[in-house]
Amino acid sequence: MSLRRQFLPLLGLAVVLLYVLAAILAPYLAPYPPDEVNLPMRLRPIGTPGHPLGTDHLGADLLSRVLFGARVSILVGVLAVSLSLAVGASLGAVAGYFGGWVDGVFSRFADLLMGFPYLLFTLFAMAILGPGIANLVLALSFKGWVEFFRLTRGEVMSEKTREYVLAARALGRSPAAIIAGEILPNIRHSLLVLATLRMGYLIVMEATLSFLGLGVPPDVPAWGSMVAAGREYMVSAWWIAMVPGLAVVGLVLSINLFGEGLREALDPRLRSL
Amino acid sequence: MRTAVRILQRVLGAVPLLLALVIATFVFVRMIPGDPVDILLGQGGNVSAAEVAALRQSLGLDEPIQVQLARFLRGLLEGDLGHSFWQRQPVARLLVTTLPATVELALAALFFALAIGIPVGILSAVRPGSLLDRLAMATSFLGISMPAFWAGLMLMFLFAVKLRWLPSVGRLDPALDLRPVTGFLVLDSLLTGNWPALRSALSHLVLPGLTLGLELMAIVARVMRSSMLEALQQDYIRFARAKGVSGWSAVLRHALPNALVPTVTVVGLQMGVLLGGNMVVETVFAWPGLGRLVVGAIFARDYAVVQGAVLLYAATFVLANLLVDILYAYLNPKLSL
Amino acid sequence: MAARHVPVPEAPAPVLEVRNLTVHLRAARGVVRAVAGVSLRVAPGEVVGIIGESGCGKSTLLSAIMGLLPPGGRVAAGEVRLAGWDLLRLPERQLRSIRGREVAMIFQDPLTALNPFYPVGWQIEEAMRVHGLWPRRAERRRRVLELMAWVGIPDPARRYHAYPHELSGGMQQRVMIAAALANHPRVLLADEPTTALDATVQAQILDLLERINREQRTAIVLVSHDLRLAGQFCHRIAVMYAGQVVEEGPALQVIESPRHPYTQALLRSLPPLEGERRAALEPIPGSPPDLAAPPPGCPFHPRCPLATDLCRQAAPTLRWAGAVAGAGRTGHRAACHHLPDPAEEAIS
Repeated sequence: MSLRRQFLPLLGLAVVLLYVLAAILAPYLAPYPPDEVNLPMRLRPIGTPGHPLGTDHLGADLLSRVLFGARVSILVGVLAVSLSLAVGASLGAVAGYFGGWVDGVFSRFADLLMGFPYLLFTLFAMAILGPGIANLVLALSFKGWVEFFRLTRGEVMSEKTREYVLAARALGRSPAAIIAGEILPNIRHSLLVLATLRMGYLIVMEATLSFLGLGVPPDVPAWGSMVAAGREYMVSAWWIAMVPGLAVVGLVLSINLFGEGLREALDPRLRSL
Repeated sequence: MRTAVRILQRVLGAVPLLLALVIATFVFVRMIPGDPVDILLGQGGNVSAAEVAALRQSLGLDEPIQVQLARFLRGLLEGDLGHSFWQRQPVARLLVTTLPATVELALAALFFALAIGIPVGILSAVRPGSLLDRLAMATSFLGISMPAFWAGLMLMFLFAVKLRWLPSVGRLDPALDLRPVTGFLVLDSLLTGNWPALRSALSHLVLPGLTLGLELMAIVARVMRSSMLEALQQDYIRFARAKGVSGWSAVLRHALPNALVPTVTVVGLQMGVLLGGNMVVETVFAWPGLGRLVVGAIFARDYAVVQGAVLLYAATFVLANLLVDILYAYLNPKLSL
Repeated sequence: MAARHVPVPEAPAPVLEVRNLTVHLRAARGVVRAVAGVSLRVAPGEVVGIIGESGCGKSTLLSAIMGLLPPGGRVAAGEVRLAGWDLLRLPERQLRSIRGREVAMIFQDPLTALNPFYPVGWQIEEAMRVHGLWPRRAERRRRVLELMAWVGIPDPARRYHAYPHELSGGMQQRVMIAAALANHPRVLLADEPTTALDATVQAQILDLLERINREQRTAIVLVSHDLRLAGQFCHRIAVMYAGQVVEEGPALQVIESPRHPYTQALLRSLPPLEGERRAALEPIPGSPPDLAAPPPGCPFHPRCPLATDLCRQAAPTLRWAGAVAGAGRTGHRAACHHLPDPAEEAIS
């Protein structure tokens, strides 16, 4: 039991690191440019010499495209979680520390956003913003900050009555110094766990938006849009849709395994997935 | 009677929220880049400026936004949601014709999520640590980590392309003829006694329903498992057993109703998954519903359709939450609505 | 409440007999021997008290008798006989037809023992329905109302539809008792039935239990931590420590002349009665032993003022004690190396 408890999260972490490495080294690892059209070699199956994962409907090498696709997913995931964390934690700390109408306004707004289905909301946001990596990060963070806000607000509200905070206040330290110097270090574990668990979700979201054609621009290789392209060829060339989808599942599953392990080790109180 | 008044209060209480939402969407939808007139006329450029202006005027797009909004709201009171210049139909009619397909799909998904998720959760809780438990929890973990669009395609590949057990796209075998009554194909085929159509409609529901219900199923199984585990440890289970109640009866009659309360709450909170997910699933399975209409309308910059669909989504969401609250009050005697 | 100072005369064949019962519970720190070789006889219509601190195994003993040990619990040795049935060797199906019909059980906290989802009348009726003694629904319904009135629930027709949380603690306890009595059991196991209630209600519930014993001739096994309450209410008392019975005898004798140092300490830890020459309550020093690693010898020796090397090495067994030694099954027994020799006592 204890072996399994540590084994799966560590395996998850190892796989995630492999993905990150692959994304960084994609230009060196990929045998072909990701968008190289080679019509004579189109629709080649998995195991074709020179194309271990096959080719797509334009003859582009799927392995190369999957490697480059990792860049989009990881970049969007990391940036969207970071932005959500920064905005959510700051607003949450302010709302939780000061309370009153500041808290009222932010909390009401967060409740309102919470009521919306995430995908619906992000879809409309992307429709307004238009495709693009920066826009994806923005659209995902529009609602993504709410969870971090709620967590931070709750923790700050309970921490602020603790003795170490009261002592710091008695010493005349400013609220900003107390929040940043005293309270945040105490809740960083909870924030880290939440950030990890949200990361997988946001990567799925990015892939879904790209699948619907509302994510990255058409010329950028992303896993979601690769699956969308393969949809037309489910009968003749199923691997075009299968391979990038497996890449998503592998990454998200690994992140979630690692996140669950982290949650059990650091913050058992936080609700499971 | 008192319950009816409470329900009415809840419905009326949602009106300001819906109104705020309508206005917000109205403004935001007009922020979508790209001019509907350009899209409508094509990018050819062989159209005169006068023609463009005429079309713009006929669509009412030349007026200031607050005038457009006021006209829209006035129309709303009369049940007029505007006109789709993309589909060349009144929006209200478009929504009415696509909504049944979407609701039918959502109900199928809800059915699969509950019919599979609840028993799996119960069995896992009754024998924690068993092979079944570990298998179920691993599968549900996988289910949460899998994008729905890909899961749908893989189900389609396996059951429709390879095994040929189930149809892949659409709602009905095109060779069949079904007289529309309500728009719900399962109901229509039952009402008209059209058995081949019933068979076809049901088999078309399986794959998209499973895909849309997958995430909710995983969540239901997990919540059901943990709340059953908790309920089974309660004293009332021991007391029921001490009265002579059998083990399964204690599980199903005594633990289950109490364990359902948190499950209903979670299902209520996750209703959005069904609503948001249908765009993806309807796209994958070429399901002629609201979700596919909205995705198409966004690309076509069809303001009126997007606007009307958002309103419908929000109203459905409010209604679904209300239903969950009623069910919740019924399951939990300590609460009243 | 009448005190029962007269021991029941030579008892007939016991309705419930526990022989040398040992129960193991699997805990985080290993296997715990929660019940270690307990023997107990309950005659028809008798009231027996089982007394001890929390964690001494008295509740586990009741669960084992019912065949409802928690997951990880296992009977390692011993026998439980109820009116001729060998309960531990009975298949679950048959055991189920005995639970709630021949032997019933009530719990400490009625609010958690009643299912919040069902009206209380339904929960009483269920006890009748599962045993099928009254197959007709209308008849069951009538009997439930009668029973509710008999246990002292006013306006039963209205209370039938009430949910547990809508009733007071005392009424909840009466509902639970009614459900337990639904099929006229021979034995009622009561696990701290009054601990969760306040003093006046406590007395009412004890009165009700006494009436059940008197009018229905139901034998009662009362588990309690309150030695004095048990002394007033029971015919006989067994004191448990670390999973074992350390002293047993007629209630009056155990209370008035306790023989085991643990029983004596328990009595001193109670607030003094009026007129008693004792300054205040004296808590027992130390804490109960860790049952995952019980001390060698007498389990009480680490806390015992009389402990000697003998106590640290050899476990004492139950021996006749006191003036009525040898008076038969109802006699007074204790498990201590330092019992005065009955002969010597007679001389002095």
